[in-house]
Amino acid sequence: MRLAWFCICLLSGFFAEAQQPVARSKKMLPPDSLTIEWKDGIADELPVLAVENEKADASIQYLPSLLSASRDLFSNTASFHFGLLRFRPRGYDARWSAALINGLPMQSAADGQTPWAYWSGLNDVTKNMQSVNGLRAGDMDMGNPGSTTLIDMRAFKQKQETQIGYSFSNRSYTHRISFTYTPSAIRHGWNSSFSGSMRYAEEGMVPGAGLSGASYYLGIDKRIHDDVLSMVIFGAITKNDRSSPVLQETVDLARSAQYNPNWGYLSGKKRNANQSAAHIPVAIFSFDHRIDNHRALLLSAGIMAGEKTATALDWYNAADPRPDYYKYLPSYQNDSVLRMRLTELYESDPSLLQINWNRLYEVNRNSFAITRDADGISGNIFGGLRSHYILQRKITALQRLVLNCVYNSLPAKDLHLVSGFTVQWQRNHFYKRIEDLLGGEYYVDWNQFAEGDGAVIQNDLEHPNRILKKGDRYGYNYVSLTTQLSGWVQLNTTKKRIDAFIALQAGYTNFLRDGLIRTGLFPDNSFGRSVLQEFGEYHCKAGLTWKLSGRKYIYLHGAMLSKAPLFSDVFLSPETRDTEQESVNNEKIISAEAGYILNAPSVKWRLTGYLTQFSDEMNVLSFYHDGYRSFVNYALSGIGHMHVGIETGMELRIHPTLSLNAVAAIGRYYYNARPSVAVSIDNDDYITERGTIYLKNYNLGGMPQQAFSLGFAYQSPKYFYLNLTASYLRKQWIELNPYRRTETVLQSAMPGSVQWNTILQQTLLPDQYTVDISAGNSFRLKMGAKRRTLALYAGISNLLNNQKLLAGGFEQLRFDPAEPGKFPPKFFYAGGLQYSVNLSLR
Amino acid sequence: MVAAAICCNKHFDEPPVFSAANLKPTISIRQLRNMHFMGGFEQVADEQVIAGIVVANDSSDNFYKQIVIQDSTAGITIRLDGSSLYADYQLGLKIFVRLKDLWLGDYARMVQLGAGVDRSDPAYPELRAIPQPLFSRYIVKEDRHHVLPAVNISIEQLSDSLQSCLVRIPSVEMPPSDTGKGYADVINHVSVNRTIRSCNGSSAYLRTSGFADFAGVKTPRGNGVITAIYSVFRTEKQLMIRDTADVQFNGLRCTGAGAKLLFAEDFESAAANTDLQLSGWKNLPESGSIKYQVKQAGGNQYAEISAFASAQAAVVSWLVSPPVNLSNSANEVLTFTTRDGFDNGATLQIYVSSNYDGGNTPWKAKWTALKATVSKGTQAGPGAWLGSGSISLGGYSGTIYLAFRYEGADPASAVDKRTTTFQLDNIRIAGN
Repeated sequence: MRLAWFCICLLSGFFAEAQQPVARSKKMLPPDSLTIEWKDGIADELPVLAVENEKADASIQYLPSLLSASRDLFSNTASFHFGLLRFRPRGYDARWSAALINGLPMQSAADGQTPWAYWSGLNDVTKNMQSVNGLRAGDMDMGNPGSTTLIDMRAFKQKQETQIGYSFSNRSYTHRISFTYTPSAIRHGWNSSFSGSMRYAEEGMVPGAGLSGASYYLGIDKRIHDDVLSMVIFGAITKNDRSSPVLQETVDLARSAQYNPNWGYLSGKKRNANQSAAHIPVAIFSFDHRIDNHRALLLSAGIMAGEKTATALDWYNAADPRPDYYKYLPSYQNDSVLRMRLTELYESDPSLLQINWNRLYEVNRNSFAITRDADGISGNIFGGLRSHYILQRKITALQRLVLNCVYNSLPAKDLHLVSGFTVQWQRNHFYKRIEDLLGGEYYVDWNQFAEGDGAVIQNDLEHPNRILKKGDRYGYNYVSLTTQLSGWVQLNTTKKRIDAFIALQAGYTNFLRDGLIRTGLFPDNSFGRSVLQEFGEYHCKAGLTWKLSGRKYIYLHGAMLSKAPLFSDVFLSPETRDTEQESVNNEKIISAEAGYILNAPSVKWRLTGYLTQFSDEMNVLSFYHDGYRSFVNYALSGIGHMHVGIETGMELRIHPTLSLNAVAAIGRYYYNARPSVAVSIDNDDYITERGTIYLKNYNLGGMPQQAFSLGFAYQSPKYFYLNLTASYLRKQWIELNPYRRTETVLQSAMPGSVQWNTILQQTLLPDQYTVDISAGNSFRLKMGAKRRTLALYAGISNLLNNQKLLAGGFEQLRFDPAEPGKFPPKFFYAGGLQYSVNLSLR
Repeated sequence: MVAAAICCNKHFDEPPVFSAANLKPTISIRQLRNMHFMGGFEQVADEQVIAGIVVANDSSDNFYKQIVIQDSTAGITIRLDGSSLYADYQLGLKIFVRLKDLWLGDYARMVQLGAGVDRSDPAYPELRAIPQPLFSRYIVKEDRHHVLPAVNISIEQLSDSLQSCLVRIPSVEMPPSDTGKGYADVINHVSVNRTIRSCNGSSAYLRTSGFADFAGVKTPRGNGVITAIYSVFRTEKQLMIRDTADVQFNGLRCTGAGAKLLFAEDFESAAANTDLQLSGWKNLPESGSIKYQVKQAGGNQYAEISAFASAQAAVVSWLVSPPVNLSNSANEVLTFTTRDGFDNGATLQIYVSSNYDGGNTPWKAKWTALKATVSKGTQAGPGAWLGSGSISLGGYSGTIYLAFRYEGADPASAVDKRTTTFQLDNIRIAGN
């Protein structure tokens, strides 16, 4: 049965057609650019969904079981068409989805995130990808409530060919070149593969946001009888200038939805103050051991070590250098004449909305100052240009070790037993360095937010009044140490009309904070190791599939899990001290899904309903509190939310070359608990206030809750294909500021008054639609004695060039109850028309 | 290698050092001030420019959201809606102000320049400060390091024409009720008026903001020169300083009195060659039984202590001064002299306490060690007297006590003996 006409993965379908006419053969993802750019644009690093299952064994006489990871219209649409507007399947947080490479779990033990960026740009060697969506049974790991993506990067899985690719795009990069070389198997069972790519943009779609990146991969295998011993080493060196969410006011003043406050002109060039860089090389060793025809063992070990960094402006005794600071904008003025004058000024001089680097240098160059008792030496006087403004680099240096083992066995004809064990250790070191003194000569290691003098303002009590030069470490300095152990077992049974599985996992997680400096504000609880936080975890799930016929299935899955909270949700302010939430508990999830699948030659339809309850989540927010006139740590606990909805995707083949498809995701994601809050002043470390957040029935923001698409795909009998999809997304609320839903804030407002409603109301973004088009063709060439294939692919999203497409927004945490509009929400714009053209030769 | 090349840092040039725009003043600050009628508001309609040198800014937070500029004719206060203005407008910087669209107004007769008028309370319209993004539209910087044009004057000569001028007034002082106090109320952040007066009796106020960095510094007792910005509040004459360096009151007061001696002890009145016994002094061993003694050499009497030949395993002895009242003074300084002899490691430490009850167990009170220079390391007999250095007691007020604590030992084992002899003399506390 051919899946080739699937609208989204048309190219891969095309390849399947063109090169491997047997349908159930290895198929490829479409050219990577779409996927990767989509991911580049989304901070949440959602997994790419869906590929192809090559494991179904047609020889089994039973009705075939549901493919655990068939290429799915719904998932692809969610990625490629809804992704631009931050659609998240079922509204789940990214930490509930994971990825495995060569069987090794990649999800970070410390922050729960799956680091897709580690292998960005290596699309040529990550094509062996499968995904397990929802609560299905997996055969490499216990799975996740969201999805699990399995990537096999081993050399012997790579296609033995040479491929050169070039892409041109107006998204995050302008040029991308790639080269992949996999020689034919060398003698004695050796295989190897090499891949590299480079991406570059002087300036992407957003002004001032350039990018450069290089990725590399090397894989080597040795086959010994039926066993394979493999090693892969890969990494991505990236450097990119970032953009920020924006206020509607600045967008209006700049007359551009692509306004980016992070840059300013310096010596005629755009310089971005917020640059991020990362390089975290990964080495994975694995041993695939086939014990006999019924038993197999996969052992893998991974080492990751590297740094991710981000720069930002820092300042001391000086005006805020950020051009979109609220006090600088016309709306801050009460006087209508001044407001108008400022509006005219901003509109006539766009440079006022960017960083004024020249002024920062000028201030620093005229800032001679004397620092007494410099470097902690009594009587030591240091004089020089003391920078008021500096560029800081925040660094996370991480080291991670993962050991994993999966054991597969077929104890009986209709039984499949999988079990596994994982050990993880991770050390994250957080600190800052001075990146640039911006024309000054030194800086002092003081905490400008600490009130007082002498010892209190010292960031590092043991090295008081430290004189800082370019490259010096300063500010905070601490480590998080995480250890995770888990074991799981899963039993699948395949009967004539019914498939069933049950899986259980038990785990243990611990973490602690280790402070490397003693701070002046918290001399007693900033240095050394915190109390070890320990958590027991469990995860169990089960499922049933009724095979009505070889084309119709009904399934029902359920899961229940209890997971350790994240380090960042437990420690109130790890940068300064080891204070934890008052009570720390596991987060719980209960989830169920049921679905119907129809796989007929002319129609494919999937309909799924799901219901997921998240409970007892914690979170810590830090923001400037206008009531206390200080930064506060806002520690939330008992957050609960319900996700309920249906997902459906239907494809109609109306002609051998033409298909129609329709997708709908109709969900409702809402809070159904009232979290508790404990407020502490960041400089004091005692709880000043306890309260309740009245959050029930508010919507989860950050993604559209409903999404629909309609598309058609043309696949010529030759090599050409064309795909056109229109998407419509609605019910996207902006993310909530819990502080606004407290008694404290509402005490001065009359119930039902305009002020009351303004404070409480959650903004709903307007309904939005996009049209995307993609087309491709490939040509067979004869170059000398060799046959080559030249593939050309082009894609355009947001074809209507809607500049005002909103990808999301959030209420600022800073909030003044007396003036609810003083700190308005910030928005992410998705950008106008986006295209990419890809060319590859192999 | 290629990867390294593509990922290398873009090098950013640094901008050239700032050079001023070519502007010329069209009117003097006096001409500008003459446009104003007290109580009114006037908007400058023409393309006029003034030039002036920054004579005050917010570097110590005594001035808030304003800078003061001055030319050869007059001075004026410019209201700027921003903090840390001093980073941009340093003292001695010459600036041009484009006046068109700016407003003149006065706050209780103090003339200021601003960007608009706030009439939200119609009874009390107020000048609005210039919004931050407009600073560079109205203010153009020229060169720096100009000499500040201070006007030498007497208190009687202070008049409205000197508003916002940097004035220098010699031979003034504060009345005793204002000396030794904080410049302002630093606890409640409340501004305070202190009186500045000349020897002939004419006076003005020295006004300091409760948010000023130096609000908690004690006012000096002497007489001398004050440099300040002249300001008015209705009919009140006020002086505002930029920093405590503006107040140089080091001379004799109008009455001829200098720094007051608050406490002095030279041990000349005590009985020599016996345990020290002086009125108000406490001479108390904490461990062992060694007390301070009064000795005499070359016609000079002093206190002495040593654990030598005491055969006591622990010798800790206290010499506590009579109470000293610091309530009516400021900037108190302690000095004394010491000698040591036969040093083998015993110590003499100096402490101050403000909660000691005067009883016989001073070690139960809270004492703070003072950083003093104490003679040590002399192998032979006592040599020359060593001064302690000037030890500030400015941080203390009310009644305090001084304590000299000797710690030594004379056990049987020779290597553990710490029996250094210390001698102590000429203890003085002076303040103003």
